Amino acid sequence: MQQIEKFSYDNTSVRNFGYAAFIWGAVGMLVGVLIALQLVIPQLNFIEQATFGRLRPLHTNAVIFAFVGNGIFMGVYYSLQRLCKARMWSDLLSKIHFWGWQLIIVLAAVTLIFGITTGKEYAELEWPIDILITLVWVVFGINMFGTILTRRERHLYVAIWFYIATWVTVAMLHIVNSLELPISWLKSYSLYAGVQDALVQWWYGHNAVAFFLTTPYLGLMYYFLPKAAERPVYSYRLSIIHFWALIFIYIWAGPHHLLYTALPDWAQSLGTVFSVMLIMPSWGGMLNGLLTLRGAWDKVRDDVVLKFYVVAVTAYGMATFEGPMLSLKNVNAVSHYTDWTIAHAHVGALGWNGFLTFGILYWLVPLMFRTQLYSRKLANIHFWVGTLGILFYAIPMYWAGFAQSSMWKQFTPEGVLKYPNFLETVNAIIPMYITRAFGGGLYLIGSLVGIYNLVKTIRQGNFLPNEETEAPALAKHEAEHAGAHWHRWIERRPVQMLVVSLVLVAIGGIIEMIPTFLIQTNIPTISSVKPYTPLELQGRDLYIKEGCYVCHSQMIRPFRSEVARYGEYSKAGEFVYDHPFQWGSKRTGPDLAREGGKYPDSWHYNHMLDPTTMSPGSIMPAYPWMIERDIDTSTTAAKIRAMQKLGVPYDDGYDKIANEELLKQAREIRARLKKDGIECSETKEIIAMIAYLQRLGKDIKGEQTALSNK
Amino acid sequence: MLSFIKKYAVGISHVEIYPKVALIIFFAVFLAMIYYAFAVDRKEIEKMARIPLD
Repeated sequence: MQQIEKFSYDNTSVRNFGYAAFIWGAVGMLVGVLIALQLVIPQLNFIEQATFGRLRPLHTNAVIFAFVGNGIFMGVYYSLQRLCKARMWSDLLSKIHFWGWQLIIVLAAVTLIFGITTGKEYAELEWPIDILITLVWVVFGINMFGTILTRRERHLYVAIWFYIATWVTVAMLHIVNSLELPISWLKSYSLYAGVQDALVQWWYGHNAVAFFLTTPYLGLMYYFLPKAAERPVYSYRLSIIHFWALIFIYIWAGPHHLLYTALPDWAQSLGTVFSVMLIMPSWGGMLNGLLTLRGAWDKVRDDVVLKFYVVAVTAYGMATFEGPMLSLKNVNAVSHYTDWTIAHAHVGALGWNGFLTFGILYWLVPLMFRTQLYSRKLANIHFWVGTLGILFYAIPMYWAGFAQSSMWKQFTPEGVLKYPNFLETVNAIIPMYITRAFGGGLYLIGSLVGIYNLVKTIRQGNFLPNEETEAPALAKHEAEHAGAHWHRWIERRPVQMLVVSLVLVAIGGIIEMIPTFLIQTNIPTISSVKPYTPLELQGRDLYIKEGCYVCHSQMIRPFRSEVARYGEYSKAGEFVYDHPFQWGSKRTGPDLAREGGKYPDSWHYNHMLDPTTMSPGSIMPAYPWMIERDIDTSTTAAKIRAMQKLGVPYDDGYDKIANEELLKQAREIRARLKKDGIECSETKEIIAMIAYLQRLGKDIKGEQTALSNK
Repeated sequence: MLSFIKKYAVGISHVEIYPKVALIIFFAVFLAMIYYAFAVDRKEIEKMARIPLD
């Protein structure tokens, strides 16, 4: 006879993560609405700390890591304890995890608005915060594995597999992508350059979607959906296939973010093949979720929790159908750099992550506070307003993406671009931007109604911090009956599960990245490509600081329409000194890869001071502080030394004369500005910015002229 | 670290085989999983599927 053990579940951590999810969720969405409005009313870029380039990373980080991150921990802390029939391993670690994560979020918010960023999308946080993330993630891991190892249920339910894969893969992605060389407490350079940096970044970026926004939420789906529907998952067999196929395929798909770029062709094709295959496990999972409701659809009509789940899982299905389609080169040629990608991402974020989180909150809060939901009517209002918000957000963005892309590509019968002025293609989609802001606003209002409803529920309830329960202790040696399967061996061994998951996800990364790192022919060197001058390097860091990459790409694809608009298409060898790469992923403004020499210095000066003077109708923020503020020359030498360490071939001792060189070049720019009637000191930031912009793409300009003369 | 890897492993050859190896590994894993999923005992599956509801 097994001994029955009494223990309790920790609800406090679950509650705290839940509070954090909805508070940060509201903040992240509010910033989202603000930046959506900034694209319509550029005057809303009213202070330096609230310009689009700085707030957009704040929005993405807040929604992904603060809203969804806390949502993950809330769901994992609740379900893991029940699935393991054990309390979280350590209350202290739970506390450190909770407060550590909130500290990271606050540090992220403060640093990002002050322009402290690595300039790599979704990995913008600087190195001290990266280290803190690693530590907190390890605390989470120890707490999770401690719980799993002291469990009272022999089988590891499929949700736990998803949690394990999430933990190990996010750890790997975060560490590999964040390898950087610090030059001060608040500034570092990526260890990788150009094409390699792009590959590592999008291997990370894509898998942040896969292993932060998807796998943990699938784990939550496999627990909370059967709970709410009061029936087991439709097919447990399918969930096994879903899990292994998903984690194995996902890790390969990153290069689909780099189609038609300077990334080697074979790596692009590999990304496409695996992305297309991804539809199988994704749809397997979606159908498994929806079919769990078989025979219970009448419940969906009455139960607001199930309504949220149904829309969430449907959004997951839509986004994972669209993802593989967007990975096809011919579709990607149209969609990339446009708002289509933004629509795709928001179907996932608002539908899948947002609605699943709110569904869980509506189910969990009354349960933990031992009461009924304050208002079912308000929850229904939230559901409908939120759903309309998603539609008003996504549909105009698809339209905007398609419209703008086709405008970029159209030629007149005479063979010249029909819309040669990029701004025409921006102004044409402003009405869609307005509708999108309205949709985002609706979604935010829905969420605020939800938060009000939850707060009211909490107020009327009585919180149960420790839920007393009992379960038989786990027998040390359970006799295996005949025919026991090898998979059962792994199902019961979390550590082995962790190792196998790590091996599977590591294979994808290694096979994709190692050849790109090692094979010289993958990145043909171009002799005319030279390292940045000290002034250009300072200018480049300002470009990164202001988040210019958020709206401007530096990667011309080999299409007639792009070559006609921007100049010769980009080559892998042009980016060998770019730590980090700045290819960007969205063209709210035009590509800048060949910006150098297109306009005089005075044009850039005036344009940065007030973009509308040079480009009437421009929606770019103004950067007047660059004209006021001095270049921080105290960092120049350290920056040169860091670049030398990373393999950039500056002469020995160049760091000592770097500031002299910087001033020399700055004086030349000042003189040119003066000629055009602009008085500006050579020490100002604008001078460095102009130097960098005028350098872009110039290295192979000679070859470009030769080509066009042929 | 990167230059260390580059220095000692630059002689890698037959890169074109990598995608093929990848595809084979993928299908092997995938087929093994499908085989397992269908071979496993039905009662066992039902028991596991009910864990959240117990």
